[in-house]
Amino acid sequence: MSASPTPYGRLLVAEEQLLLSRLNLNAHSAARVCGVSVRQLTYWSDRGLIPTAGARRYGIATLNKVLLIKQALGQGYTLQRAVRLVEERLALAEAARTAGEPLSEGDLRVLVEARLADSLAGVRRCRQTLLAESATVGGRASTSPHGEGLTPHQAPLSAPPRPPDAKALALQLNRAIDDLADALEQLAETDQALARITE
Amino acid sequence: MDDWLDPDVARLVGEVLDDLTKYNIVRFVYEHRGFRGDAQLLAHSIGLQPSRRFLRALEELAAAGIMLVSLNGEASPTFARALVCEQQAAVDKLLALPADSPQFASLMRRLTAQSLRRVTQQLLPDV
Repeated sequence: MSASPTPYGRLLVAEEQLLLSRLNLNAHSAARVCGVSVRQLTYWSDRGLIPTAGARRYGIATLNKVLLIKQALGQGYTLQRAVRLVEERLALAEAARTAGEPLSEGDLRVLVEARLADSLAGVRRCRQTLLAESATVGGRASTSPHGEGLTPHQAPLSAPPRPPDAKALALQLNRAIDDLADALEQLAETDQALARITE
Repeated sequence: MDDWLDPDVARLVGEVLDDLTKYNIVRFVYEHRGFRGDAQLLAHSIGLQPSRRFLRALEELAAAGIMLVSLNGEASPTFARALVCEQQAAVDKLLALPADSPQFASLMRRLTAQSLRRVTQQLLPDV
C-alpha cells in the first residue's frame, strides 16, 4: 500500500509557497541569504536594478534576481550587462510560464529582434560617447576657447578654463571603450541567437 | 609636429602598454605604490569593471614585467607594481605628460585606437 500524502504534508507545502510569496526581508537578511554585501544590495536597489517591496525590503522574486545577477557577475559580466541578461532570462521564463508551454518560434524571434535593436542602439550610444570624449582630449582649446556654450561676448572674465585632468580623461575613454565592447559582445551574441532561429 | 611622442614612450605604447586599460592600471599603481590586491579590488579601486578584458590586460602587464603577480595559495592571484622593471624610465615619462599637451592628446588617440582594435579583434577575430 503506497503512502499517500497526509493532509498535514499538503498543508505544509501550501504554507511553504505562501510563506515564500510573503517573504519580505530587510537588507541585512536579504544580503546574507544571497551572499552579497549589504552595500552591494542597497546600491543595486537604489539604482533601480532590483525591485524592493517597500523601503529596503526584499521579496522572493528580488532575491532570485540578486542570485542570478551575482552568478552573472561571477562569470565576468559587467553589472550593467549582468542585469540585462538576467532580466531577459526572467522575461523569457515568465513568458513561457504564462503561456504554459515553450515560446513559439515567432515569439522568440520577436524577443531576439527586440534585443538586437536594443544592442544596436547601445552600440550607437557608446560610439557617440566615445566621439564626444575623444573630442574633449586635446580639442578643448580649439573647440571652445571661451568656455563651453559661450560666445566671445559671454565669456567669463574670471575663472579661466581648467586644464583637463589626465586621469579623468583616460578613465572616461576607458569606460566608453568598455561600454562599447559590452554592447558589441551583446550584439554578437544576439546575432548568433537570431541565426540559430533562422536556420 | 604636434603628435610627436618621445621614442621611449612610443615604443612602450606600441609594444607593452598598448591599450587604455593598461594605461589606467599603470597610472593607478604608480600613484598608489603600496597597492596590493586581486583583479577585482584593483578594478574597483581604479573605477573600472573587473571584466575579462581587465584581467587579460593585467596578466599581460605581469607578463611584461610591469606588474608582479603572486598566488600564495589565495583564491585569486594578487597584483602589485613591480619595483624594478626595464621600462621604468619610459613609464615615468609617459605618466609625466601634461593632460593639456599635444603629446597627451596624441597618446590618448593612439591608446583609444589600439583599444578599439583589440576589442574588435577579440570579438571578430576574422576581421
